[in-house]
Amino acid sequence: MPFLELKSINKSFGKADKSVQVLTDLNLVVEKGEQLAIMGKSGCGKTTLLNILAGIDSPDSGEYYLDGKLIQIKSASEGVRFRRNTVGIVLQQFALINDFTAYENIELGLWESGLSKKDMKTQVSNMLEKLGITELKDKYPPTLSGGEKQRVAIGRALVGNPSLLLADEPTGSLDAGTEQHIISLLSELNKESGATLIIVTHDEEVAQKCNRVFHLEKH
Amino acid sequence: MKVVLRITTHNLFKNMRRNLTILLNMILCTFVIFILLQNYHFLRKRHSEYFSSGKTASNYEVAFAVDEDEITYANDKLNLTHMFLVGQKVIEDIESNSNLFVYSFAGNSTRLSGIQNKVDLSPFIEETIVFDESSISNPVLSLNAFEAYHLKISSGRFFTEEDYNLESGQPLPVILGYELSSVFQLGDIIEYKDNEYSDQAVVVGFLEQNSGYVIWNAYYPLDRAILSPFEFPRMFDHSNEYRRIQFIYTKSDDVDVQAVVNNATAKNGFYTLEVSPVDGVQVTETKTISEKNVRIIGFLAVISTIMCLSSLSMILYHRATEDLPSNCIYLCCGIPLWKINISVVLEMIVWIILSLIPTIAISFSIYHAVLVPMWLLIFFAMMITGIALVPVFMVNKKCNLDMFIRERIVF
Ligand SMILES: Nc1ncnc2c1ncn2[C@@H]1O[C@H](COP(=O)(O)OP(=O)(O)O)[C@@H](O)[C@H]1O
Ligand SMILES: [Mg+2]
Repeated sequence: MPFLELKSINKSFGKADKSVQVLTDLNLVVEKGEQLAIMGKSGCGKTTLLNILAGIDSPDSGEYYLDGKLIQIKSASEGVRFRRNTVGIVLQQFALINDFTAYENIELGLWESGLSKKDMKTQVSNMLEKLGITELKDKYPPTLSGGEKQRVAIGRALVGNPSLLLADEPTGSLDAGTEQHIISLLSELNKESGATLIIVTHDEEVAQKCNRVFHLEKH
Repeated sequence: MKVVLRITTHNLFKNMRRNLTILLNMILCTFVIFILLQNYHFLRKRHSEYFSSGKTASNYEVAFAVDEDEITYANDKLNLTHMFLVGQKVIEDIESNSNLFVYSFAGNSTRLSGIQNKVDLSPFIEETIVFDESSISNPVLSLNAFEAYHLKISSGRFFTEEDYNLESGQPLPVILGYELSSVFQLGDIIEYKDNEYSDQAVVVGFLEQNSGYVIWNAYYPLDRAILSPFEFPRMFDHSNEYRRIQFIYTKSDDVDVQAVVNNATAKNGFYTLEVSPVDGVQVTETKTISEKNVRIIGFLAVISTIMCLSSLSMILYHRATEDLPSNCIYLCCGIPLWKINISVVLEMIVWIILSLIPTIAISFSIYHAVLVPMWLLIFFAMMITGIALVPVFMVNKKCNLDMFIRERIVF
């Protein structure tokens, strides 16, 4: 049994007559710990696919299995519950809370974990160290560079030890040098935690760092 | 719960400038609600129950009578009713006018009542407290009290045995303290009148200057006293009832006493207090501005409540829109929407509590009490806040991760 399996997923947007079919009969199998890059032209449905994997959106038809369980998200709150402690998300726009410090932003990933304040502290400190941003922990996002922000965002996504880490063009807003750095960091941390990593990217170099590339075609 | 509290504290302490606006707005809201409730409270009460006016000899008199409900409390500060407190404030304002002297005496503040023996206890007491009597007292004297307390008459006469066996309809003889001799003359009639009672007293004598008496270790000066054989006004059937009579003496003839009183009642939102000249001539104009005032204030309060409500909801709506990305991030991190919403409610409760403080402080400094029931004030503040929060919940409901991820909700 693979860790993640999508079976003939269909997804369209809009009303019947003007509907746009985005994903058609999509099948995907990802093994545990695998690092998968999803590539494709802009507008081909990469984000849509990631949303389905994150439980943010649900497919029109088809089945989504994660860790052997059939995932059916019927409401936003079910999605929240599904993501909690299972899925970590890294976005292109970093998605940090501006009036939280770097430390607090990472800690946010543990709020729903039920850990004690002390345990949270050790975990966040460890994560800061792994990311090499311990000295930035009291800084607020607006004072950080793009690469630093993305590290904080990765920290928040990974600190709760999710089994699935989804990254939607995580290097899209970064310059080339930083991009390489972030990608290596992501895959390194991922190897360490044993989580499954799915990165959406349109950058060949980024894709090459991953075990496998999945090309999404436009319909 | 921990998460809810963390979001709440975050909301409370980050972005102080924004929060200050909310707090100020809510303080205003609470204050307006307070005025609204207070005026509503007054409008419901019938004016005749609370006071009436009467007239006597050559000066002005306001009779302020309080009904039985109102007086159960006179000894018990905690139970003072709103109207009573506002009435007190009106009197206070009248008394503080520099063109007037106001003397008042209360029917049940009598002190020398029923002295039966001739023994003067004062020689046995070493220390003497001198009471500063700024208002008129109305001691009831027994026949032998004059002798027992060595009281001396400067003009007129002492009470006689007949004075203690008056037939109904006969005016009550009174002996006045020295200071009152500038206002009254021998033979003057002092009249008391309210809705239920009327009584007359006749001035039969004046005490010497600096008269007074000592009971136990207290010295009671009598220069502003009205001594009588019975309580004035005489109310044989309602002995518990409380009557307060106010005399207003003007320093000069051109002071419009009614205007001063109107001012005080209007300022406090109290009902019209009719002042009658004591010589029996009806006053030219008794305005009902205070009642009108109550209505106008009430109307304005409704308008400003609506304005406060809309501005509060606007601020909160704006804030919720600003916070939308943060809330999306919360959702991303597995924090459900209901926790976010509850933390907003908790936060607002804190603001409500804080916003009550100035109103309570103002009310205390003016009336020494909160005139509007506390629970009512809190209830209304909660209701207003609740309504103002509806748009917030609607915005939060829009918090859509899909939109956020596709960057349609931007920072
Ligand atoms: N909520 C939506 N309503 C209508 N069309 C949508 C919606 N979300 C995405 N689409 C459309 O679906 C297609 C795929 O979008 P997306 O998954 O964001 O592509 P990608 O991430 O690969 O650029 C696009 O054509 C987009 O316009
Ligand atoms: Mg996309």
